[in-house]
Amino acid sequence: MAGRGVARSDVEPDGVLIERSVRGRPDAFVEVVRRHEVALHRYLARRAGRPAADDLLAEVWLRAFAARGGYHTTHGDARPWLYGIARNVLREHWRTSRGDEPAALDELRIDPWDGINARLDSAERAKAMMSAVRALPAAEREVLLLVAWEQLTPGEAAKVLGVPQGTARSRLHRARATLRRALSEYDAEKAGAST
Amino acid sequence: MSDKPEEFVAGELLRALGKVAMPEQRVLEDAREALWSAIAGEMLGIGPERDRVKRRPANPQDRRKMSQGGGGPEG
Repeated sequence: MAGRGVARSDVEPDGVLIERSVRGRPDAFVEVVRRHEVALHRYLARRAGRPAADDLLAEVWLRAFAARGGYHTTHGDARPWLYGIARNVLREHWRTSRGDEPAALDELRIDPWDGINARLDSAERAKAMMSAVRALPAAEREVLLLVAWEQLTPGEAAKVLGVPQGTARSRLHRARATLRRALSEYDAEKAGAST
Repeated sequence: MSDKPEEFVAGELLRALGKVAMPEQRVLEDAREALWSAIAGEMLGIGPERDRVKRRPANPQDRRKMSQGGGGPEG
């Protein structure tokens, strides 16, 4: 799975590289960046649009580099920590630009409408889903999208958000239930309209 | 989401909605370049990077101007 290659036994965990970067070899941090740069850019692009992601990525690396002394190096995988930093960068971006995440999601230039149509359903259905995502409480939406889009586990999402695992799991459960309901309602409405 | 058909469809649809294109190589390299500057600064013992980062403008356009010679904290 992309981004999880660090689990291979012949690859040094992120935590080891970060520790080395703190102890006299700051350049070791670049390897951590190389491992996660595509995933982090995608995260930023999904939440703020591609142009903003292009601008914000360097900010994430600079902040992570400046904060690496506080990284818990026993954590082999740096992704939850990096996503947490990226999330803070995004919040500042939303504050200084559009205002909030739902607005940013409106801006998402999701290209694959046609691809979805072929495999799943109509563009309207996808829009109904996106609308339901936007309407979720922010706390639920954040966990849901970290798991669905960033492929984090609920435990990793909890670390990103700085909440207990149980809290993240219950938010995820509620968000999924809401989306299922929204999709069912959309389908029922559509079926009713076609009869 | 789970093995239930309706959950599978909802999960797959949501994942598809999150598709974004690969970033351009140039963008990744530019971001790494900014990091290398910070690394070089630390290796050369030029002030704490944290201070420099804090003083970076929040607005990406202003940051771009700064990186293009619009005046940075180091001069």
